[in-house]
Amino acid sequence: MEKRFIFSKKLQTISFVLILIGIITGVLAYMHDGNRFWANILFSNYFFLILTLGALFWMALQYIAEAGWSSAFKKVPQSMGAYLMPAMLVMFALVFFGLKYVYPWSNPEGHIEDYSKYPEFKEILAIKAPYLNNTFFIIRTVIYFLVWCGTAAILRKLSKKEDADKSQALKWFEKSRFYSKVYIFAFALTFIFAGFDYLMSLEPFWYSTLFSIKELISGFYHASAMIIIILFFMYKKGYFPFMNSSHWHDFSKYVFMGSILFAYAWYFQYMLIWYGNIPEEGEYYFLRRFHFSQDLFTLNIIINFFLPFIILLPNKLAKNPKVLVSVAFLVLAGLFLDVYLSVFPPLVHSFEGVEHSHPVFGLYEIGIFLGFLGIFLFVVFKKLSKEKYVLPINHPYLEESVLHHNVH
Amino acid sequence: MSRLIAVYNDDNKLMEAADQLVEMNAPVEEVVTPFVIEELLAKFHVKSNIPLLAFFYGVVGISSVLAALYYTFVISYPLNIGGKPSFSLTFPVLMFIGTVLITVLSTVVTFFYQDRLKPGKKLDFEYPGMNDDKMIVLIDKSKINADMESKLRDMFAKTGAEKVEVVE
Repeated sequence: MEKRFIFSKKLQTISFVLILIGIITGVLAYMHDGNRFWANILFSNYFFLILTLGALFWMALQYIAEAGWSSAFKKVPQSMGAYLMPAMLVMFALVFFGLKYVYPWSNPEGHIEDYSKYPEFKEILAIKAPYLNNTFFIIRTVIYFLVWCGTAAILRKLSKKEDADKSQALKWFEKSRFYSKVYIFAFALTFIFAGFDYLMSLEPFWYSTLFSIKELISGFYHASAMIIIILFFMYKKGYFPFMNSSHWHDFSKYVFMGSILFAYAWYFQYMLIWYGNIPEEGEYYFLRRFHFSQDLFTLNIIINFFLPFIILLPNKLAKNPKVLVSVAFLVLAGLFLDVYLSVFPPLVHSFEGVEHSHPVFGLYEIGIFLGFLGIFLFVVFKKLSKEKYVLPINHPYLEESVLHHNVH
Repeated sequence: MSRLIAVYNDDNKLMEAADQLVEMNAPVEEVVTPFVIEELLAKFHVKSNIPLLAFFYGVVGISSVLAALYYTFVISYPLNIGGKPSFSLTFPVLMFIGTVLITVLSTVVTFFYQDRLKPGKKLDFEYPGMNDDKMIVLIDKSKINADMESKLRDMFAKTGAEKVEVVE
C-alpha cells in the first residue's frame, strides 16, 4: 500500500531519447525555417499545456464533488500539473522570441503580402491594438503563469502536508477543497483569455466567443484520457493492485461524457457560424474545409466524438481496461488533430516551400512533438517519483476508493 | 392476500437475510426499502430491461424526429431561409431534443406498465415506517408450506429481523 513510484532507468532513457530527438529536429527546423519551428513549438506546447490544465481541473473537480472513488489516483493528475512550469517557460520563450513568426498582429508589415486580399488589414489591427500588442501579451502570459502555477503549487503543498500529518488530514482536505474551487474559478476566468491569445489570435480577423469554451472542454476531456493512459501504465507495473472494473468504468464515464461535451461544443460553434453566414466568421471554417483539408476536418469530429461514443456505449467494453486505453489513445490522437487544425491552417502558407494552404506534416512536426512528449513524461514521472507514496495515504476518502465497487 | 413479512432496520442485516433467501430459494414477492440498494437486485438476479429498451426508444426517437423534420422541411414545405439548404445542419438540435423527449416519456410509460403503476393507484401493501427507515421482506404466504414458513421464521430471527409477522 505505502509504495513509492520508481522512475525506472528504462523509462528515463526513453524520455531522454525523445527529448534528444526533439532537440535535434528543433535545431534543424530552426535553421531551416523559423516560421515552421515556432509554429511547431506553439502546437506541441499547447497540446501538453491544455492536458496539464485539464488534469488539474479533473483533480479539482474530484475535490469539490467530494468524490470518494477517485481519491487513490489523485497523485497522477497532480503530478501532471507539474508540467505547467516547463510549459509556461516555453510559452515565455515563444512570447519573447517567436511572437513575430507566429502571430500576424505582432508584425503587420511581415504579413502584409499574405493579407493583401484584405484592404482593411491595418485598420482592423489598429482597432484591436489596445488588446493585441506585444507588451500586453507578455503581461497576460505572466498573469497566466502566476495564476496557474500559483494555484497548482498551493494544491500540491496542501497534498504534501496531508501526507505528512495524519491527525490534521481532514483540515488539509478541507483546505484542498477550498483551493480547488479557487483553481476552477481562476482557471476558467484566465483560460477564456488564454485560449483567445494563444490560438484564436493566430487569425486576428476572426473571433468567436465560443472558442475558448471549446478549448476548455477539450482540455478536460483529453486530460481524462491522458490520466487513463498513465494509470494503465502504472497499473501494469503493479502500483494499484486494488483496481477493478468499477474503477475503469468510472474513468470511462469521463471519456464518454467528455466526447459528448466536446461534440456539443464543436457543433454549437460550427452550426452558429454556418447559420449566421457572416463572411468574417465563416472564414475560419472556409479556410479549414475548402483550402486546408476537408478530410481532416471530418476526421476530427469522427475520432473525437463518434468512435469513443460508440465504443464506450456498451457496458462490457467500457469496463475493459484494454479497450479503454485504446480509446484513450484514439482520443489523444483526436486532440492532436484538433490542435493541428487550430494552429497550422493559418500558418502553413508562411512556411518555406509551401505555396498554398494544405496539410504539412513531416519530420519537424513529429520530431518536435516527440521532444515535448519526452519532457512531459520526464517531468510527470519525476514528480510522481518524488512523492513519498503513490497513494495519498491520509486522504479521508482513500478507503472508499480502495474498496470501490459498483454493482452494475 | 396474506403475507409473511420480516421488518429490518439495518441494511447489512437485510443483506445477510437476502443471501439466505436466495440459498433457500424462497418465493420473495418484494423487498421494500426506503432507498435504492443495488446489491439487492444483483443478489436476487433481478435484471431490468429498461436500459436496453431506452436505447431502442432512442433509436426510434432519433429516426422518427429526423423523418418528421425531413418531411416538413424538405418534402412538404421547403423554405428558402437565407439560402441555406432545406436539409439543414440545424436538424441535430431538434433531433437531440426530440430524442430525449421521446426516450424519457416512453421509458416512464414502460416503467409504469411493467410495475402496473397508474395515477391514483391504491397501495398493495402498507406498513408503518416503510417510507421512513424500515426495510421489509414480503413473502406470499400461499406459496409456502408450514415447514418452509418455520424455516423462514427461524432465519429471519437469526439474521436480526426487528419483527416477523403475518399481515393480511
